[in-house]
Amino acid sequence: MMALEACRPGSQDIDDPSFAFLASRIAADAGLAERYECLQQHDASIAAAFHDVPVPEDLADRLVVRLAAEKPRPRISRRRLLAGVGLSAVAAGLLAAVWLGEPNGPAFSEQYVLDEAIRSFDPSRAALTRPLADAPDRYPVSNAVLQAGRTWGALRSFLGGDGVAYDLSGTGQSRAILYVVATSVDGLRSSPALQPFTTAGCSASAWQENGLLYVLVVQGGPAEYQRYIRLPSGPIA
Amino acid sequence: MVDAPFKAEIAKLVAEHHQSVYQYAYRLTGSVQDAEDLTQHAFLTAQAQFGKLRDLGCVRSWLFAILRNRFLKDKQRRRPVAAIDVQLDIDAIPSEPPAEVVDQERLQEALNCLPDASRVVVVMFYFEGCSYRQIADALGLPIGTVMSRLARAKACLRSALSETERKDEAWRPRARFESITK
Repeated sequence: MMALEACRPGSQDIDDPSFAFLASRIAADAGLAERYECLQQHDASIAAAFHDVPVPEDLADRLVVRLAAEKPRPRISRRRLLAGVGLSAVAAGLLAAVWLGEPNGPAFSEQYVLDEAIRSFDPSRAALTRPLADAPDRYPVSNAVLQAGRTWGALRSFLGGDGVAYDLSGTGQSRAILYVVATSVDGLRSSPALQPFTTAGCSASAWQENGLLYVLVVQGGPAEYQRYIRLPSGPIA
Repeated sequence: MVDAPFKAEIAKLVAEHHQSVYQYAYRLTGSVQDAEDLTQHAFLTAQAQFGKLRDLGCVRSWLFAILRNRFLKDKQRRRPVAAIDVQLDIDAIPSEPPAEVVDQERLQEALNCLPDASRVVVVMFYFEGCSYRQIADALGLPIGTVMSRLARAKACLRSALSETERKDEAWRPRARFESITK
């Protein structure tokens, strides 16, 4: 039966030498031959429906815009990157990228910042381990974030600067990390977005506050994300 | 910023492949938003690794592979793989031709019921037209595993599609009766 199901509709798969036993059985059994034909027709019908998916009209344009905004990465091997950066303090699986910094800081886009933070976020890894009381004062948790943070870890050369990552996750809540980095990114908002950027099962928002870059990454969708930020009072636009 | 000829190459890549990539992504995820995210990821990755692509004739397969890998990686984080409990015997093979054209929304509802690993296999079979050997090679699975997974998933799909057909049949007589009495 598995061999019957493995034959692609409208193909010559039945002539494959590995299906010789099936071909001979079909030739000898009219009932089986009829079933094979019916199956081929069912498969052809299903295959046709597979491609019948409406595509958003502006998808191509949005993709081109998004791709054009992407900053190309310098070609440095991952091994050299990891060897050059002390990762031991960052136990939550952060991947540190070493960038050749420009005098005024690298020209990252907001999208790049969000993508990098999400890429570094791994909710399945062990939490950051340093107690909150030891966190450096120069990287405070933003007042725009509801949770105080439980533990933290140091960041080195992450998104063009040093900083810390706070584990904001509460008991029974989705994992959430707040990155606080001593760098600035042009064009960022001054508070977390109400509607985050979502991809790969995460929601994220980046903002600039008191000279620091903040990136909040939450495991889950917008609803999980909004549990971590101060929502504006009044009707939501 | 990227140079003009490279931008033109990428724009051409998007123009030629965005529809099939999105449709593939939609069949995997069952969600417009997730499909768009996955599609965006595929083209971002393709742009970043474009220089490594040696054969432009393989671009479509390459993009589909990026989609599959990202989809499976995301899913592995969230939930374990479940098995399909379907008996594989001659009765699972249809004895009559299909009664009607398969509705694409019903197809997606049926696909959404499949475990993710099985969904990938049927999408490769039906959407890409991959043979069981190609599926096994691409996913790094034993041939026997692919054949078993494919057979069960296809039987499950047909069962789900015929179930929704039966439900629709139950509606039709009542609808005719209501239109007569109005």
